[in-house]
Amino acid sequence: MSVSIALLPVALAIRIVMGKENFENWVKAQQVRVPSTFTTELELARNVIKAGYDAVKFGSSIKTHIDGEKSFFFWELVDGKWVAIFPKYQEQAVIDRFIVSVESIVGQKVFGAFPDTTAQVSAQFPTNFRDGDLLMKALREFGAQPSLRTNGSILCKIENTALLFSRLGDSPYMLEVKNGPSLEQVYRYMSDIDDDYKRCVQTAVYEKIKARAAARDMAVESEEVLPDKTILITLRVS
Amino acid sequence: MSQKQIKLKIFPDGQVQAELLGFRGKKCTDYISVLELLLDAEAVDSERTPEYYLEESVATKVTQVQVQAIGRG
Repeated sequence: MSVSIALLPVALAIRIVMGKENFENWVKAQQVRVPSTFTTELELARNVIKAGYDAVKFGSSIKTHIDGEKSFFFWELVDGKWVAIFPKYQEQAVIDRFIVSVESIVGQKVFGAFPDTTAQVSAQFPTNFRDGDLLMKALREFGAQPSLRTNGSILCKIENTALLFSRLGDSPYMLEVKNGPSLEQVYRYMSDIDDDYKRCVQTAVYEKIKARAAARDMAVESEEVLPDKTILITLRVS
Repeated sequence: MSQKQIKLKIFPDGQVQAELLGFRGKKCTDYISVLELLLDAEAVDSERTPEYYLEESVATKVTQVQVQAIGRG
């Protein structure tokens, strides 16, 4: 072996870790999206690094540490502009310091206005979902009877709780919860849907390999399912 | 010449790990983009194993010997 590579399917974002013990983190993960004037990765990275921060490519996003190693946020490209997505729990002073540093390097205003979150009546949360078809499939398997709306958002209902999944551009879906019985209950739904979605991604990746390998001069030599449900495929390359 | 193989682990959380076997030196990294297209995925990390450097070192030595031989005319 010469190289080991970790790959993230484009259908999947790694924004949040679900699971029984992560409820508090999920609640904290509510986001504030602030648009910037940056249009290219190079422009973003050059100015952010000059301002004393980092800009690390992370799949189709860029990750910037804002206050030490543990505190970071992501940038996502939405309609040709990079948008800074700060976690809601992030101290405002830390964000302000970052914005001032970057804008002083650029020499002009870079960031748009912060959205007014005080008027929010429903809760919005990030998800790991990027692929609408797979999300529809996962919701159907969960029994949530999803419907696709004309604007591309997906609406479903679980026990009188309306869950609206919507997105800006190619960014991952956001979940908006209306009439939630309790956040704990919604979180339990979301944990299960997150598991179902990831299983759908696993199946989709497997099917792509089977369908596309031959066209790239590869042949499936062996395949097996390991005890932890991991699929192991060996390809022979000609 | 050893057989080229790619071992793909598709985890239940959808993430994928690929191990390239039997490839020589930089041909391994050339295959990153092939895998990205095959899987509709993006490489987020890659780790070169000691064999990679061993193969690169051998290739570099061969090149140096060739350059020296040409230099001597």
